[in-house]
Amino acid sequence: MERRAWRAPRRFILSALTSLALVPLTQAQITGSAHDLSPLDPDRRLCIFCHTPHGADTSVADAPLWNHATTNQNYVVYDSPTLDATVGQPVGASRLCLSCHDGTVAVDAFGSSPGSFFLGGPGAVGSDGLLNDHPISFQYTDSLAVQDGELHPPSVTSSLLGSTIDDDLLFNGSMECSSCHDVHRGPAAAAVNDALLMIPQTGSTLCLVCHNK
Amino acid sequence: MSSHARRLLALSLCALAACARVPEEPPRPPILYPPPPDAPRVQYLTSIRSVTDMPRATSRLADIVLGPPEEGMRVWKPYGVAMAGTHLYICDTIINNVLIFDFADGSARSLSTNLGADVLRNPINIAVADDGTKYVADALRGQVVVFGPDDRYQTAWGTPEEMTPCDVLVVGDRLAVADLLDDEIEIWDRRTGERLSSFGGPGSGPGQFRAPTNLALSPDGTLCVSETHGFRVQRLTLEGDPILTFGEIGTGFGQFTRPKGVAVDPAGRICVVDSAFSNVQIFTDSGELLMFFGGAGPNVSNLDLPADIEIVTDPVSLALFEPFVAPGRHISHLFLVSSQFGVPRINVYGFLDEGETPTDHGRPVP
Repeated sequence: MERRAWRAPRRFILSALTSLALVPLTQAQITGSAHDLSPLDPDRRLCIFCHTPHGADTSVADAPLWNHATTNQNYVVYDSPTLDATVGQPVGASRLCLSCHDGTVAVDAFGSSPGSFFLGGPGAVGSDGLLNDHPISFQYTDSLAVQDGELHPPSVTSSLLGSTIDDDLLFNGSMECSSCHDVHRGPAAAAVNDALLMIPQTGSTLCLVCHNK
Repeated sequence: MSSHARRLLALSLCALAACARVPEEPPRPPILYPPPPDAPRVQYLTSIRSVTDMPRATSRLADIVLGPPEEGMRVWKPYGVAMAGTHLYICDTIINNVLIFDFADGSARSLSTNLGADVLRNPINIAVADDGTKYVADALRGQVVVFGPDDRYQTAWGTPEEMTPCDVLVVGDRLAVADLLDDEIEIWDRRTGERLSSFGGPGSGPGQFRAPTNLALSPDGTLCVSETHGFRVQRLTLEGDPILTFGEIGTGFGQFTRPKGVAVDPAGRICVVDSAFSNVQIFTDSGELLMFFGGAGPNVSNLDLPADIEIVTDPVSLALFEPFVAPGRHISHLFLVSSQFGVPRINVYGFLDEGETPTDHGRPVP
């Protein structure tokens, strides 16, 4: 009953249909952020590290007009006795993140250049691969939540970002790097100011969106 | 096609048609304070968590072309609130930023870009001057952070060694700053940040303060200060001369347990948020209790660990909330009250200006 009061104003069905066809404009603020790599480019370009208007890598389907060299690493992935999900090798957009963040491909490896600037330290996942990182590239479903017993069902749980975990945080039902981080530092991430996170860590708010603890 | 399949098809077409037309919700009775049989003076209007909780002031063409507005920016833990025209400013102490909701175009953004000097660390309260300059009291920075009319960072005044600013108030060309470190009120030049004077100091005598957390300006130009640890409200001149002191610790009517936000309406009535009672008590300009509204409870019209109150008289702002006002009633100003807990939100109440003189338990209400 009370929830009804919170429901967003009804929108025209036309607007809903149109939004499927057009990508809504967002206010990303890459300039000045951790992903502002323009100092590494002689022409101070911003987007070129990942995207290009011409001659894009058509083998990459998870990001538009891809321009960066991609990693071919196999990673040791996270495992634990309490893990119920099946965690495979990172796929999709997460592999694109790792194309800088595993430390094996240069940040400025784009176009035909192999690049020369490699991430190290906390910015790169390092030799352990993904063993000591929160698992990614696994299907987070309602049945997984039931099986685990300490996860919220993603299809009905609020993401705190306006819709459900499924709608806002998962990619084809899969948890990826971008479930928590906004690579382009969109408005939500810009407001939070914490490792490009869209949901604040204060009081472990971010963790508790999915984890029922 | 079998008759069964045909019936199924007809049913699903009916279901589709039903989806296309959303039935109107029946109107709910307005939530009024004080409850009957007293004449109502305050109506709960709505609650705001995200910019999409409000109907749009302009046409929805932008929605159709660009898709629905971003719902990602929402309130996490609001403290200070301010409103100027169609813009609502909310100090959020979880994301440590000031959210700006523009109800004219349904857009949401943050005041600080978090890139460089403008990073807010603990923004508690905000004041918006008539010229659009924003002053943010940041307790952890120990500074008042200044943003221009274009929302760009301009400068910051103060150091954490010398102050813990909790509230800031624009008084003409001056700023009044509530400093929790020294339990005092400082008066600054709002163009230069130069400290002109200060008054107060820890104590429970007239003109002294214990945790002066919130400030408000009276129509006669005097200052109202709520003391969270002094359990009272004081009215003083800008020179620090005490005019009125009222309130004491307790749980009775007109007493305080955790007084926080304070605001003065155009008639001089003093409204005080108590975060322990989860309500707003309204007093006369001489400190006599008139009524209270909000209160703890499960409904969105209740308050949950409330912090700040802002009184809004701007007709542009008022017009945004007119659709929520009960038919046949008229509001003269709004109360915006932040709730920090439960469903974090800004509750909006309207003061019903009925042009009558209702009685409060037989006593005339000014």
